[in-house]
Amino acid sequence: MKHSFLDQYSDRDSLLHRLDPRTKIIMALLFIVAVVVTPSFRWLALALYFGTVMALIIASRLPLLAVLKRSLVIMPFVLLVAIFIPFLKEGEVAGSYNIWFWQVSVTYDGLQILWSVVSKAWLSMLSLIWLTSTTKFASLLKGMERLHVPRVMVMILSFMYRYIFVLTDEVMRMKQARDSRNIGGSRFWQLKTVGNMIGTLFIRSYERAERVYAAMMSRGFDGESRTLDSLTFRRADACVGVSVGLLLVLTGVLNLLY
Amino acid sequence: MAEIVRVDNLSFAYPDGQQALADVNLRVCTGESVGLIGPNGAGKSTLILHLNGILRSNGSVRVLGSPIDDKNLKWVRGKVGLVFQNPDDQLFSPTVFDDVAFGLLNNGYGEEGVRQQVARALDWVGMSGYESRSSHHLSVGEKKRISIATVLAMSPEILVIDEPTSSLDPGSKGALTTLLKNLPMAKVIASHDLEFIRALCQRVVILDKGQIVAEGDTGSILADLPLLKAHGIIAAE
Repeated sequence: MKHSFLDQYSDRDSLLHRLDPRTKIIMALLFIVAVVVTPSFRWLALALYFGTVMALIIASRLPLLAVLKRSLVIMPFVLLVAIFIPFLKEGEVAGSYNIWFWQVSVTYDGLQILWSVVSKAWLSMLSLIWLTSTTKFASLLKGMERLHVPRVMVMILSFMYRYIFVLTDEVMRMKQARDSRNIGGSRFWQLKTVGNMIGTLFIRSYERAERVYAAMMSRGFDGESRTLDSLTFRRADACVGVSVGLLLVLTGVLNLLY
Repeated sequence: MAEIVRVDNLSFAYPDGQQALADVNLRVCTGESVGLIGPNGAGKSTLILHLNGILRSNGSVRVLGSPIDDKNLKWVRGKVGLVFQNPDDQLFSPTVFDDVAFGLLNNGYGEEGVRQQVARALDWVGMSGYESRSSHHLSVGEKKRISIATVLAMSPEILVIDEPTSSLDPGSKGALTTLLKNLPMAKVIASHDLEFIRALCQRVVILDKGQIVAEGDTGSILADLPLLKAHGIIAAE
């Protein structure tokens, strides 16, 4: 089965696709830090950041609509966390409601903070989508390794990338096998089947892990992970990295002055 | 001929008490191909895992004359190349290159050596140009070839392969047969596929319930239909 939803579009070609993964990881991280430290109510700064990430996305020739769609995936989680902010923040009351015995009120300040939290999360998400859509997962891992991200973390991510699809296929086959035999049955019965499937999947994954480990040991694995270094910074890395860095600094300075 | 692997009186029980191997003896010499056949659960895979020290019981496995111990494990694993049944277990790295290079890096090859050996191994199995592919997107036949390359890269003295033909279509199976025939090193091939064993192996060992019940040249063992039926290797009518 074919899957590529993790690093879809990463096999396209553009100047940004060809950059060293380290440059892109650092750029994305700096961007997120810059976005996060921007104080609330600074809409101009956020607009500039939005422009920056959009420019990157367009320069990488990514399909705009698909990127925007994907960026919305995070929204439910952000809203779940942020939805209470307007009720808790003190300030000028925008509206107040009676829910049973409680009187709750929403403040303007709270609403502003809510919007800035949501837009900051969205901007960060866009930059990460840009990162994973312009970099193959394998080179992303290489880049992290060279940036001295702990080896264990890189290995976990690498196994995740290798086996998430194998597991997805396994779930799909199990579902097909269940649906081929499952005719009706009560809601409770169906839930129980799902529970059993999750249990089976867990045991199978565990056993697979043991076999993979045996295969690793068979090729001399001794707990240390070794890789070849094959990354080189080029001129384009310096150019793009410096210009995006400058842009971020400039926005920060503007933000202080304005 | 020099003995590459020698197994003497090997017995093994799993932690749950199930006796998997009882008093197994086996010798494999240079350039020899040995077929290991037997019904499901006969202990074939357990025996194979002993050959490079993944499982160890009582020091009765010798590789090139030295018993396997903690100190020579790495050396043993360079000499005995184990190919697992399921390529999804064997290929665990993000790209084909990383997988083939894995064993070499663990054995301390330098960058130049790694690149050369990877290129050679991939060329050997006819998969040059696949270096940057992700193994998930390959066909089963291609995955099998890469699995073999991951082990060939380490230039082993003996190739031990578990069920190489499982879930292969006849075309890929034919290609795999030719590939293995052209590899000069000794081989141990565990399989249910008698046609495949007949094409590749000079000698056959039948394992049933953890014991070796018959051993001999391929022609005479595979011609002994009552023996094969008695051990569930061909269907009894």
